[in-house]
Amino acid sequence: MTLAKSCLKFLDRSEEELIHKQSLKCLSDIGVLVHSDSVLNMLGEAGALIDRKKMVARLPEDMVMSAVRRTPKEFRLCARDRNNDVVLPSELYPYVSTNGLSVYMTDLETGKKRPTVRKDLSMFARLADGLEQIGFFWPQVTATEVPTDAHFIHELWVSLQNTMKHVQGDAVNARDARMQIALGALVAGGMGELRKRPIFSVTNCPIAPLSFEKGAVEAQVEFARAGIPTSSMSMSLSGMSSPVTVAGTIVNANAENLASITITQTAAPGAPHVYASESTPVDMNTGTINYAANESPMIASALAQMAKRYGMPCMVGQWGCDGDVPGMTASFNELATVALTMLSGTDCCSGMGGLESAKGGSLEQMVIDAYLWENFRPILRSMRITEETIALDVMRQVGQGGTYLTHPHTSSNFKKELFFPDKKKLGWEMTRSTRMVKDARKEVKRILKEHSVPEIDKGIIKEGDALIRSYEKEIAGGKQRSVGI
Amino acid sequence: MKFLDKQEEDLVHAASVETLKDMGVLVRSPSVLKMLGDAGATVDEKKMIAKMPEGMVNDAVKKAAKEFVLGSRDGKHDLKIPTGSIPFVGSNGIGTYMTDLKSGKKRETTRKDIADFARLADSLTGIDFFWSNVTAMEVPTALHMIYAQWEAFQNCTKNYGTLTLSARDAKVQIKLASLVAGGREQLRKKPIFHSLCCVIAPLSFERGAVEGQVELVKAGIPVISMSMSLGGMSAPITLAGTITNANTENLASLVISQTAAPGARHIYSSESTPGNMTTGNIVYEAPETMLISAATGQMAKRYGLPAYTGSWGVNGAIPGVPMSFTELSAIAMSMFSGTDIAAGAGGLDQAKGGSLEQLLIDAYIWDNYKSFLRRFEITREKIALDVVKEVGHGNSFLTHPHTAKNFKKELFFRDKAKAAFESTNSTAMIPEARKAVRKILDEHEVQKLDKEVLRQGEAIIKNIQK
Repeated sequence: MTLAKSCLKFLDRSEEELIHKQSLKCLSDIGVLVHSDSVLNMLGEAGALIDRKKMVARLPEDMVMSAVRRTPKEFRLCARDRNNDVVLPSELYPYVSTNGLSVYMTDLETGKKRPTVRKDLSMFARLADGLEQIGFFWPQVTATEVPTDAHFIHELWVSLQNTMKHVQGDAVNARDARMQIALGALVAGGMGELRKRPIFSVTNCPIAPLSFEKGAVEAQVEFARAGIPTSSMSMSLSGMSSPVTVAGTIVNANAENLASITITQTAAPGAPHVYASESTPVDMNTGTINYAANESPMIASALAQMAKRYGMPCMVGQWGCDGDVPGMTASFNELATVALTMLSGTDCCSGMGGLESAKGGSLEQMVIDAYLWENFRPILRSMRITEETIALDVMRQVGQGGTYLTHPHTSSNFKKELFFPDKKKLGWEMTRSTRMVKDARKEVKRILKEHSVPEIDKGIIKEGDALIRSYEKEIAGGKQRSVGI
Repeated sequence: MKFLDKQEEDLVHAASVETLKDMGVLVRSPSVLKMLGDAGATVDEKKMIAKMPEGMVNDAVKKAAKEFVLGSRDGKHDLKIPTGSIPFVGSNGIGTYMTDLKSGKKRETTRKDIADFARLADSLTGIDFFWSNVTAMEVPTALHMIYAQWEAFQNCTKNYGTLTLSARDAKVQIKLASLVAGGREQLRKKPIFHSLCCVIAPLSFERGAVEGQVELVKAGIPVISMSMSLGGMSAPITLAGTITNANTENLASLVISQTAAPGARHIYSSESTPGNMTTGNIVYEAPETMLISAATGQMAKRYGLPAYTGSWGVNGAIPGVPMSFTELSAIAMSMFSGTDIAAGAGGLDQAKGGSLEQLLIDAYIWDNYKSFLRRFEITREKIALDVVKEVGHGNSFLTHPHTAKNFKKELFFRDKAKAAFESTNSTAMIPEARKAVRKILDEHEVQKLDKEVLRQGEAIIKNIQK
């Protein structure tokens, strides 16, 4: 039995090959900047060419490819409740998490913006726990009342207490990482248990283009050694932190992932690692990340293809409206951009409940994004294409021109084969724009007034009219038929 | 978009071939049956069934034109298919009413309205070919398609799409088009219209339509063999069954075209969806529809045929976007099926009606959507490792000339005015979401951590803060 699943494919075989080759060339010729002596040492000992002054490590092809080979192809992002484990690669749908580390939220009672505290994070965690559409939890808001260097550990701690789902956090340095590992071990029941069932993982962003911060990369090494999965999220912004060309952005994000995988596997061969990206063109006016840029689904699907090529689980999509205020404030096309990234073949992604490119969070938005996902994800489910589901025997029984409505095959299969959306949830998503039709009407009137079509020669029109009239006569008295599609 | 893997694709093909050979298709036309019999089909004249051997099907696939042009009156809007890039979008066909542009009320349509739709379509960059959105209700029924075509030719320079209801109908359509194109040979060289020749699922062909199809292909007019297989109604409920039925019908129609005129211009097509079990309607917005589109698009490519396997247009009960994001997404994503053309802009209520405002809205949404489907170059030059080297680790590309030189070529910038009127101003969403949040926070319990674990954890945190 095979399962059909819809997936956007962006690169053909030769383009995929080119991206791979150019990424390797980038790593061996240009290398990566690693702001950490200890990690540079580690890489140097494992075969990288190190320029100590520039802190650049050039990674030879065989080093990168042996790291790829060592990376586990299947693993779990575990949860306090085993039933919530994120099993990678995903089989049915991608797993979607919340958005992360916002500094404000819209208050549930007043609707107003305010800074967030630990108590708020516990609410977000509990809400996420209560929504089946949410696959795992990113600490959604920042505990702004605690010292800045300690906030990740507070957030991990609050999250672990308030959700039975997997938690994916962040770390600032090696010490932070060790503390988080200690907390995780407490909840998991010891270091050995945590290694076996990592109930949390971390996002470790390379800083595009091609560099690694000291604290984050040293933390990554600690996590890898403890068996905590790392997600190497490349945020290559076309035109800012990567070339403006889509092909250049893809190579940059791919190269950063390969470099990060090399670091993980050098530190701890076989450590779990998720290939990840939130790469998209930058908004040329504001210099901020533009998740709604038209090119982002293409970049996501190319990167998912690369991850699959390397046999790695990936996190390259986005989900969530992420508007300035709660609700769906973007145009259909902008939201479609975000939604299309989910067709990339990604195994997981983040984004529910965020506002304003993750600067803010909203509990209402988390519900809205979760319900949107519930209605969208059936497009991504796996379907059975087999002799049995093709059902030639049933076709024979129904015959040409017959109806399937009354055949038992229909009643016994329709609930299994088709998705029936919750009508109420659909109702919310409706566009109730008060401007659309009014504006369109104005535009139609203008065009009909101004736009002229070159006239057909008068003689031809006369001939055509005559032709129609004679046809009209010919059929007069004939049987009238109804016309319809 | 890829839905089927190679093995699944093979299975669908094999099942279609088996159906055509063993079960055959019902063809309600003695002349077409005879033509098929002469060419090698096994014909049961009494039951009007033609069984097509595999060789005949493969032959038809081989003979079919793999590339051709849907011509335009002025030569400026010629559509070469397959597109290899962005699909071509057309308007919706033959509603019987429209919403009046002045009053907004529903009313029956006339020739004058067809002229308005045609002229609007002519001006819109989001519309590549024209189907008559509405019907001239004041003329005899049998002449509906003829008048629509004549109005379209006079008011729109773009390629026109029609329905053909009989051989006689076809002959008049060809004559009218020859007049405009400058003769039959000119028309054959560059057909300025195409016709939709629907197969009636499951597996049957109406006499008028199939005889019309034969006339059209003989004159070099491209035909679209649209299968409307409705899962659970005119096709098996299972997705695989619906896909196979649509594929089988397309192959049968292709055999008819290629038998009548080897090398005929034939477009593989499906607007198949699960049937709405309550109303019996077609459900363009079902999540499964997109999957059927993707699968049939793949099959068309397998045979090397131009495809019409997507649809475009909101097609709501009233003008605007009176449907949910996920529903409209499902329709929109059918454009990723590998389709070369798709119609549907400007329709209301599943093509029962039309609206000029809607034609504009659908065209504008398409203007912003179609760039998802453009081609990108993935080359060494575009990858630009030399630029990466020059910029260096951790630095910005913003000021490098490569960015200034390429950003307009490489990135798509939406028309802000067009984007603005797509936004959702739902008034129900937030209050209802807030209610749902409160309910979950009130009722949902998370298992508490063990007290001792909690104590030790707090200690670790206190410690780090020090």
